Amino acid sequence: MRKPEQSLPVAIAALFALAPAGIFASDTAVGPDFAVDRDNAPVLEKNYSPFVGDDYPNRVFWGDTHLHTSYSYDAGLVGNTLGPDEAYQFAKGKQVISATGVPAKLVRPLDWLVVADHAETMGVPVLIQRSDPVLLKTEIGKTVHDLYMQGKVYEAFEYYGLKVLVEGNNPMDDPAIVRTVWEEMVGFAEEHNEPGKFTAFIGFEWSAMPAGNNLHRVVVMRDDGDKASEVLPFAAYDSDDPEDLWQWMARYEEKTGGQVLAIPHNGNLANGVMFATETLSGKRIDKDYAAARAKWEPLYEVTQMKGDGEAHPLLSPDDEFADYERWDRGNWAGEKKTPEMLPHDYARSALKIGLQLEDKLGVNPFKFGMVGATDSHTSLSTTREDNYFGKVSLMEPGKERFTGQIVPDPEGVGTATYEFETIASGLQGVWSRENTRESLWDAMNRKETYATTGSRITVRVFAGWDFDEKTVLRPDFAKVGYRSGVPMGGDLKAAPSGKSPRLMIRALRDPDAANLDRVQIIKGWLDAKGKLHERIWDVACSDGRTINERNRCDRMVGNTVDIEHATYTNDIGEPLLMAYWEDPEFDPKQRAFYYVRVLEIPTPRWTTYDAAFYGLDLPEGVPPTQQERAYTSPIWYTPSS
Amino acid sequence: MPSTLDAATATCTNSIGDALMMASRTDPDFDQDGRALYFVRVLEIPTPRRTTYDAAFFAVELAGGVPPTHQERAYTSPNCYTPDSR
Repeated sequence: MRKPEQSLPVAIAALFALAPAGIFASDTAVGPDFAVDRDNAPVLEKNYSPFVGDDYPNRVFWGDTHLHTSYSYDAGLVGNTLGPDEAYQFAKGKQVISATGVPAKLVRPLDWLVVADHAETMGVPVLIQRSDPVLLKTEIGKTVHDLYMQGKVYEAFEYYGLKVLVEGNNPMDDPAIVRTVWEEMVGFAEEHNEPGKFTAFIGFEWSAMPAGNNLHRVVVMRDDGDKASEVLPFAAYDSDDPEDLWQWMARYEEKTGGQVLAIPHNGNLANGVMFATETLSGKRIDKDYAAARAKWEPLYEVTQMKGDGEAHPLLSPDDEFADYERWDRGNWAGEKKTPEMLPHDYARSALKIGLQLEDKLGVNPFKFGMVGATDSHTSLSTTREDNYFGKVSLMEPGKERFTGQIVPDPEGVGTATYEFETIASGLQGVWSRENTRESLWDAMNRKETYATTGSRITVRVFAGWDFDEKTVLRPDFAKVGYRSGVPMGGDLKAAPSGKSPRLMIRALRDPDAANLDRVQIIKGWLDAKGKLHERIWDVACSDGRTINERNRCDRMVGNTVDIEHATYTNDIGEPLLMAYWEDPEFDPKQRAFYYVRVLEIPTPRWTTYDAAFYGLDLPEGVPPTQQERAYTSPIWYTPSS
Repeated sequence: MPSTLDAATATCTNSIGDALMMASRTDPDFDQDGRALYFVRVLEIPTPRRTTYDAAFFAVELAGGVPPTHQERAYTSPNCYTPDSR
């Protein structure tokens, strides 16, 4: 047996520190049934192996929550011939031939994927190609089938849009058809789910678009196929009100004992409705609504192919990097976006409004973590600028893809948005120990996940009250972070007197991509008068730059891009940035959040790669170079009372 | 290479060193008629030797005859050059 002095009696020492003097004076302590002598008491031993008992997340797993295949009507009816099987194969790193015949491969496999086909008439394109007899019994099904089979693809799509989207008819009102398709979807996910190697989540997209405002939600299940098969997906023609979706989710959990979460689509085309302070039915948000939203929607899709939605330059005039790939012209119905809509469409302002609502209601409805996803309709989850297969199959790589229209302008007010304005984004990193449905879903649900605009930047942040400057330099800083702080997505409460939140951050570049420019902390807070504020601090700058009195790196990082050849070099920037920061303006009475933004050095935009590859002129209206970025989920501070 | 070692707690910090190193080299002494091999050795910054961790953990003296810190390293497999005529 080991001698006591060779062990570390941690717990007993801790008791001593708290105990009144003299309490341990006796050598015998009395329990309810017997006494214990000091010499016979068991000694708690510290483990020699530093990793015994570790259960905190130590890896990032990359994936996409939002990918469409030929099972979505707006993919399969307009050129996408690749189904979920090909989507999974591609995500797993296999080379596939795209719907337009272009060989495609990822730089590295993804770790997980959600095939999120539209719930609305899911599978119709494949049912048409099979001439499914039940579908052909419906008038809409038969008409669209016949048009499609005659080669009138545009007419089929137009007719379908009119009958289903505009008039709200459901050509699949027979549950037997829906069940057939849903069981196929579940089957694909079951087949490709390989715990420990690759996670195929079961999910779908609820595609509500009331008055042309995009309120879509991607629904992600934690469970295996047995539970998922007990229900049919909830569609916008069941209801276009998110509150009804949450009720469906609650019923799913009640019925199956499973778990499910929803991720709102980015709000660029929602014209102020995504984060409105009124419900869809026009009531002011109340405590019940806030609690339901916070429970069912722990995440938000902050960046995707239809634009970035972190911040807007009109809302954040002091943010030099806010003007990034924004889509702010209007909605699907051609209604022009107005400045008062903006705060309710962008993530940073929504996080701020959430603080205000929490102050009033006691619950924050907009307490979300950050997700990047593609929303690609090509079955190909591509997010690199040099490997961009586009938003839809009609706009896969080729000489003529810049001019295709994505958002129409039916009212002639300038809402039109084009393929060259789509962005090669986004990607989601999940902090977890295991690559399984359960482990990754739980990490998403506790918001220990983050968005990037396509690069695999590793970033970690911890907030606490007792970190010191040196800890982030330790190889085991994450252990300290978890032991005496909270990770991204977490909560700080009960500020010790005189202390400010302290943050530790590490960011590591994508091994196959560019160096890093800087690390920034973005703080939002609510002051005593009920006014909202935001501020940005650069906390790590590459290339020996110092941080000036405006809290910014003292100069720009530079730009190595050769636009003609679409190349860049890593002779600027740094592969790893580490930072320690203490909030210099902390007021323990004020609600606040903190999140981290990491910027890469400038690299060519996908249009620049296309122009070089196909020998084209660069499109006007988008920059030739851009800076990829990562957005962590926030950490919130809530005052005690 | 300075050391960041705190021997009492057997800790080192990444306040020195670099996270990524990139290099290219042209052999200045290359003789195309001679056989040659090249391999790469990568050195970490100094970190505690296992005996230093042990000493801190068990609160015993450091072992004599071995250094308290060392530099972990990687050795790549060689690339070989063989002249054509051989």
